[in-house]
Amino acid sequence: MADSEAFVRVCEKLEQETDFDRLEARGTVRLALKESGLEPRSITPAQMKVVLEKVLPAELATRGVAEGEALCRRIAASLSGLASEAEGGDSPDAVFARLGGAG
Amino acid sequence: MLLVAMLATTAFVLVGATVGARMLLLAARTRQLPELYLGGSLFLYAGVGQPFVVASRPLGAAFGFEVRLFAVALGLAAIISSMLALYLFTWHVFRSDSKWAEPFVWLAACAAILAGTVVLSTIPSTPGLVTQGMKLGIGCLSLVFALGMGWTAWESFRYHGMMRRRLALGLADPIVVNRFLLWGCGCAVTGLTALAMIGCVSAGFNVATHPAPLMLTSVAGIFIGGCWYLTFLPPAGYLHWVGGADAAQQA
Repeated sequence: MADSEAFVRVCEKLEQETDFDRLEARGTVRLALKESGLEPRSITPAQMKVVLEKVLPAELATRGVAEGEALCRRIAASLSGLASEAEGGDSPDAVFARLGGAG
Repeated sequence: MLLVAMLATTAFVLVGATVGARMLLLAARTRQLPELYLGGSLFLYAGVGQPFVVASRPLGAAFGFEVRLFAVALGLAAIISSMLALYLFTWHVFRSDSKWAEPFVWLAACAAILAGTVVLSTIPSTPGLVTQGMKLGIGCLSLVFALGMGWTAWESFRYHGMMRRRLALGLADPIVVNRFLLWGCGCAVTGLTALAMIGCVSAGFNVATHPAPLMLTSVAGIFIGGCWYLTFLPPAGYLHWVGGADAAQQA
């Protein structure tokens, strides 16, 4: 399955605004997502904004990127244009949320 | 012991059939496959398969071998269909983009159908007699069942870990997070019980009368029924305890 638009956008922005190459940018974002319990293929823009606010700045700091928080705020702002693709109706958490309300 | 086992089996059948039926009703409303697979799996296993297999012996004693064979065939067909539905659920929900999951599911289905056929074709007309073919067939069937349960338990525990990390960021509902844990625990115990039953049969125990397998299935049945109940029909008090007042109200 292809990576989500939010993931691709953040990786591209990170590559543009830092010294990271494509692989480093994607790897850094993937690590932040793993720490957050999220997956590149299904993350929504809303979830990505939380990761950019709470997780990615620390990942950037460990890689020597200065002013990571400000950078993440700029990247988060660039996500506003993305359609708020709801996490797939059949994602495991959506399914289990539905199943508990059966009846 | 027999009475305890009968009560535990009845409780398990009632909870499984109720949860399965409610989920099938949900599937009729939402037209989504996961609730159809899981509802079908729970209902067929607890509501059809178990009762027919358990009732086959008294039915045979009352109406003859053909009736017993028919009851076993119906029960086995329901149990095998329930297994297949569980595999389909796990594949569809957790591994829809995986390349290995589809052949794995169909391989398990073929193995279960073959094992069921072996059991049916080797049932002796003398009640109480267990043939080698039956032992082999039931062993294979239990193994496929345990594998399916183990797979869905593993995926649930893995996803529970992810959901806990999301919860720390405010990105998950604590009740849904807990649901993965409960479902995983129920499935893990079901799978382990199936493996233990293979051990009991191999050791020569009669699983319908020996106290050890009866005790095991009773305790496991109550635990599994409890997990299913709390996962899919949670009472308000439990939701409040897990998620607090707000989450309980939303749920």
